[in-house]
Amino acid sequence: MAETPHRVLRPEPDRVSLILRYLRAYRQDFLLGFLCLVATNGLTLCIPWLLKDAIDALGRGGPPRRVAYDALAILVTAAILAAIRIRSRLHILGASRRIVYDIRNELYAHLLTLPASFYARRRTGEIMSRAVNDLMLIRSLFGPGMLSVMNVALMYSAALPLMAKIDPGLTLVAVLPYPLLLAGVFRVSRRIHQRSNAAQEQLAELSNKAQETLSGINMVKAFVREEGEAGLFGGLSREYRRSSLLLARSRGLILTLMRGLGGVSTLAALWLGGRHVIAGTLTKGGLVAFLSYLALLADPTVMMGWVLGVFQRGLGAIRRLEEMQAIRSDLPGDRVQGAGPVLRGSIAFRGLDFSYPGGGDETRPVLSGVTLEIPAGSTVGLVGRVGSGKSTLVQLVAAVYPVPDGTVLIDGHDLNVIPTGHLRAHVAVVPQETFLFSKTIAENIALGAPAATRQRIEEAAQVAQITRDLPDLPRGLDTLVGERGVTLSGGQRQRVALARALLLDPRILILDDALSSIDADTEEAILAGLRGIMRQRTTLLVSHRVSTVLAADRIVVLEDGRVAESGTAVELLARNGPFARMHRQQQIEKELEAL
Amino acid sequence: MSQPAQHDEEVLGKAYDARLVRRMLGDIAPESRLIVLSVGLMFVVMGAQLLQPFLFKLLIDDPILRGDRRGVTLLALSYVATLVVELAARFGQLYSMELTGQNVILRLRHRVFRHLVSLDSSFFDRYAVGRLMTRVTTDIESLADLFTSGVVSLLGDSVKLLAIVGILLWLDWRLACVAFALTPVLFLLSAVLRGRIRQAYRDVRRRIARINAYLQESISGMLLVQLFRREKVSTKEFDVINSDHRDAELSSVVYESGFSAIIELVGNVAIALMLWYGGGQILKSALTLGTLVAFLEYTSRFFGPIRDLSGFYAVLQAAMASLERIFALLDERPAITSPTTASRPARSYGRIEFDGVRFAYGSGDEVLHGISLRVESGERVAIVGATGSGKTTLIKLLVRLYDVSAGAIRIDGTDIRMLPLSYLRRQVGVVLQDHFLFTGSIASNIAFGAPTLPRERIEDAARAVHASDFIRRLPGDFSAAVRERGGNFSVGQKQLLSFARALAYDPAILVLDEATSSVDTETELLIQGALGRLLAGRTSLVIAHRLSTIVGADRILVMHHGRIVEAGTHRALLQERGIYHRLYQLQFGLEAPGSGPATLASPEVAS
Ligand SMILES: Nc1ncnc2c1ncn2[C@@H]1O[C@H](COP(=O)(O)OP(=O)(O)OP(=O)(O)O)[C@@H](O)[C@H]1O
Ligand SMILES: Nc1ncnc2c1ncn2[C@@H]1O[C@H](COP(=O)(O)OP(=O)(O)OP(=O)(O)O)[C@@H](O)[C@H]1O
Ligand SMILES: [Mg+2]
Ligand SMILES: [Mg+2]
Repeated sequence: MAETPHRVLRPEPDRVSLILRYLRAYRQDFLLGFLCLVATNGLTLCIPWLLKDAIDALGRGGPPRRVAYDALAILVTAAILAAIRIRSRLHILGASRRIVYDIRNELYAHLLTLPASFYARRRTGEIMSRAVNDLMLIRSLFGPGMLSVMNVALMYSAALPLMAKIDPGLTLVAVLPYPLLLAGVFRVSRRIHQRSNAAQEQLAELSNKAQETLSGINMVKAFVREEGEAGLFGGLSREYRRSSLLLARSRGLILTLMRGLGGVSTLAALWLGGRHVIAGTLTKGGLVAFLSYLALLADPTVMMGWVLGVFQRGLGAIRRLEEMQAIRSDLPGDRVQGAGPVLRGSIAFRGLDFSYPGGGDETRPVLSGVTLEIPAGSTVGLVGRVGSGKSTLVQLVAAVYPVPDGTVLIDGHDLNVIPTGHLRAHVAVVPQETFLFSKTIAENIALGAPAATRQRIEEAAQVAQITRDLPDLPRGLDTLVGERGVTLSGGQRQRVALARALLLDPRILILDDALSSIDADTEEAILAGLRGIMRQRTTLLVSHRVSTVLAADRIVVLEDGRVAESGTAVELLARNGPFARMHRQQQIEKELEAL
Repeated sequence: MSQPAQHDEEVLGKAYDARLVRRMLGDIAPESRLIVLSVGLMFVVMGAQLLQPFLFKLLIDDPILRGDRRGVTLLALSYVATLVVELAARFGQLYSMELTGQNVILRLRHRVFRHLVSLDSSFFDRYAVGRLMTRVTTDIESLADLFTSGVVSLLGDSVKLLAIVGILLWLDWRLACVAFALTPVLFLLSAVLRGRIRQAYRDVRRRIARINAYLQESISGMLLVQLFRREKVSTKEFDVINSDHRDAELSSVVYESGFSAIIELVGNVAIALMLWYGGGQILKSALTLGTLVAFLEYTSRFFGPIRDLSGFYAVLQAAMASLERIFALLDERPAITSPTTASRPARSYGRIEFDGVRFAYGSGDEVLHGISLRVESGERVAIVGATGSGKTTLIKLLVRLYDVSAGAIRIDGTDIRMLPLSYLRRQVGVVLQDHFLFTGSIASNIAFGAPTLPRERIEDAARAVHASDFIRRLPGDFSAAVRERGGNFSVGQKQLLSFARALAYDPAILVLDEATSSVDTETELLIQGALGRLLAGRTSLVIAHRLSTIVGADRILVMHHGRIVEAGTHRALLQERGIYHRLYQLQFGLEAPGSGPATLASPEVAS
């Protein structure tokens, strides 16, 4: 990233705007916290003053009561101080926690609105890293970062006037190195910014690798790839170490520079102040006091170096978050307001061309010129070779990817003018690949209708023939299924997904090769139950088995994203086209086997 | 699911656990030179810092009194010298510490990861990937914090503390006793608070782990969340765990703030006490004013390091909890390991024997109830049966993803538990039912098990499964990108790639578990043509629901509820008129008494 120096000095308005937005939202906390800090700083100064008073009294051999009073005053001050100190931290650190909570909720709510094309481009680890690591950085910015900024500002604004009162010239000389060194500091802090981004990216790479290896662990083991994967992981760890060390170098440099800044001021004061004392324009006591003020500022100055790092990294995190927040759903239906029309379930495709958005192969058409009319309540069987676009076509009905205006119509309404949520309320999909959540089987079935009664869940499970397996499952429908459903067999998972869709009682039912992992016997039982259900709704049925679609009202054969032919089984068999060929192939097998 | 506590985010983590530290020393030892360097440099920094006030004193007492401008310059120059030395040493100290930390965690991270991939599948059934990942990321990072936040300055602080205690005792032991009178109170208070803080941290950690797990699952299953319109419910669920986490964070803030404020308070109380007691002594002339002033000065310095130490406590505590979880993971012994003394035969002949195999997942019910079967070298055996009958389980046992509970599996007559794991798995090429592609390219996925495979062999494998047609059409053909879990391919395409991967592995035994369930019959037929050649000389096990897939098998086994209930050739099984016969009838739509064909026909349409 080619950044001009100004970028860092004056962060882009939007980044600052987020900071300001939250400072404003929690202004009461920050304000009170700030006032408390003012008070604590004042009270901290009171204690040495009381001490001085007591010691002076002791020096004069003064009244013992005075000393006792001073001691008591210190006690009281200390107690108040402690109370206020706690308050200051509660306000500011507490606000930082609440801000992180707000942002995390916002982020999650936003993630829920992002479309499939977004998730296709991003790796899970990357999104996780936004929600976890970046939020940590933001927390540091608003919590300890703000606290320190306020403290440092208070220290300076208290010390500088006092110093100027002692010797304005000397004060000027003492602060003279600041602008000079600050330029250097900003340069380094910009590097911190870049290097911290680089380190974050490396860390994300590392977690992605770990995640992928662990998710595919069975594959890794079966192919004896443990060593190889560990080697790759080791390579990434070394990369990460390298970028962490680069970052550490910049951070060390900035702390050192800040410490040097204090030192140079002291030096200037020492050298010039000494001369002033000799010249008689400054008292010795004045010089001592001046030096002790400078010493007081030394720690906050070093602290500033740390704070700069915190801010740089926090701003980087904010930028990444804002980038993500700026992404909007690419589904036109998501922008449509209102209740949406009544849907009965007829579907029409009119010259639909489609290619997957993003990812470099935008130009590769997956569907071209698909035109189909599907009356409400009918059953359409979709067949075609691997990769011919069946899954793509049926997913478009559920508005998973954006389509051109007027190419997909539901009950005569352009899909793009139906609110996505409304549409999806009428469509239930059994995806080709099953994804289960690590909940119980019953909870998975009730995914789309959390309020469903136990009876309805059991009915759905019955139709999907899950009931057959219940004796084998330790807690029946209340068995936990493990991550992605790993503790179920392939066919069991697929049937849970089927029950999940049936429970929705949709107008349009999409079964995308939904019985591929199920034996013929169970399939038959499922189909027997489905027949009644399907008669009342539009069903899109994708299958590789000719026999499964044979009786559909209409069969559509896709070839390379085009409709090669469509019609009833009888028509297609008579046409002697691709479907007849497929059918023959399966017949041939049958005859061979029947010999 | 009951989970052993040690893997949980529950681990309390003592602030200092000698046992853990001793274990960690093994990883730290190689860096001892760097550590010594860092400690040395820290003393240089401290020395330079001590020298600076002394220079001020010299300046004020001497050259200024004498009006010696050259003296002022000279002292200013010596100040510059100490400053330069201090800065250089400080940078060196910071950097050497960071280097130490990074080296230590690099080693540890690698070790943890290697260990993790060596654990067996039943372990992975129990723990979510998201959780395990934190062991190699967040947990390791919190160890790095330990180093960067300054274990070394901890040492410095302790030295300072001891020195101050010594000086105070030497100055006036009675007054010193007053100064220290409050330390027991301090210890008591902090002991109480620390328990609370630890509890609060534990809550924070546990709840953030929950947030992460939830997020991870939501992101992976986002399409379903959206298709099933769970957005509102999810938002609510997320808000619950998010606000739980916030509340835990807030109470940790309360304790943390209280802790540091109380230490400050105790320091000030000590000063007040000393003033009161010392003042009395002075008035009785039992003490000089100078001593009291010195005392007050030192006491205020005494509580500084204590506060720093308490700040460090949080980091230390987090690091110890992480360390404990990491070591608990490292202590987890893989249940499935290579035998130590194992002969390593050359290529297997491919004879497989299951002998009375029984198996249960974890502590669950038995899934396989005494499976016995023999597959001869070069034989082609098919397994069919209802879903959930245990077919996939059989395969997982064959490659020892799990070990049998009773009975034995033998390859070429040797119990597979006596064979080196890598040898066993090198002989068996599997297409698992849960196909899985890795981020990378098509070529890297096909060559997954044999990374050095030449390009022609990769292309051969792709051609054999008829994947080359679609691969050729991709931009960059074999180097075309594969996204996370193969998300940019159709399911059938993914299966073909997994199939090609197994073929490219060139195994003696090929196992296909529903390898072509999402592949069209036409492609399947083409593959079968090619397979005849490819399978020559190999033993193969084919699991499929679609009977067309198992055409040409020498023998067919039918599984039912964890048992092999029928076995024989296609013809023999048909004559038996058992389960296989019924499946066959159903699938090929032949007349079977009492049941219609497996079509969607409402009976009247089917005719
Ligand atoms: N990791 C696991 N932990 C616990 N139980 C499991 C696990 N994997 C499978 N099971 C159970 O073991 C039984 C057999 O499962 P398996 O996967 O072997 O069946 P399958 O014959 O391959 O079925 P399908 O045809 O559906 O793939 C099922 O009841 C399943 O619920
Ligand atoms: N998310 C995606 N991004 C980019 N390309 C994709 C994506 N999903 C699928 N494709 C490509 O689009 C084409 C059609 O895929 P689709 O999944 O619709 O095929 P299909 O007919 O369902 O095949 P199968 O029978 O294997 O399920 C394929 O060439 C595939 O590689
Ligand atoms: Mg598909
Ligand atoms: Mg299976």
